[in-house]
Amino acid sequence: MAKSKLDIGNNVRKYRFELDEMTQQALADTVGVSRQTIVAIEKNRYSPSLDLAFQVSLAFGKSLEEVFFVNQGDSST
Amino acid sequence: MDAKRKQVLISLITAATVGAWLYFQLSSWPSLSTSEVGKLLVKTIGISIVAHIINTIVITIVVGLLGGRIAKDVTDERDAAIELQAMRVILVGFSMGLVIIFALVGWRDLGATSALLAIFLCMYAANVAGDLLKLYWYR
Repeated sequence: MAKSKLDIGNNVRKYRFELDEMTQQALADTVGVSRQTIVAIEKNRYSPSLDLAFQVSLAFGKSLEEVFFVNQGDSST
Repeated sequence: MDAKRKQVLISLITAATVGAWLYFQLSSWPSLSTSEVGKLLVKTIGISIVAHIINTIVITIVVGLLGGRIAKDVTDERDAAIELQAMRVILVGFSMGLVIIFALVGWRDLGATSALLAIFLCMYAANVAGDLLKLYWYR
């Protein structure tokens, strides 16, 4: 059986702006990664590890499912 | 400019410098003996280390003079994944080259001197390819 790759989306950009227009660098410093990694996550070029995903969610004060989701066809949860 | 891309750029500039140096040293290549090529390759490794140090200093000064700021060097999980992926590409490229060179030695009578040089050039090309890929992945 072929294993399909999950299309993981995120609301990082949205929550960053909701959080007093937090800069990518500020978020990167908070979670301990480089700004390029935040850029890559926002553009869906990189799926973070569970550890980093939790750290980003905690930085926004949100749950993991609110920040990261799986795009299933037309709907996103 | 971020620190990771600066490192890759320095590595590429060093590779270009060493490549140019080696190219001029090999102008009399067909007449070089195996031991002379061996000495030349050892010298090349030494020169690449010195060139890397000099390029690091010069590029850091130039970026500073141009007013550019090098972002703090943070190595995270994405950088580790990129490094690993680039390493795999380098290893696969080098291994394939090595097999081809051995086959040429075995079936096409490639000389020991030429094989020595080909192995070095194969390693060089694989490293440059790895650096270019890193530059692309770090974007």
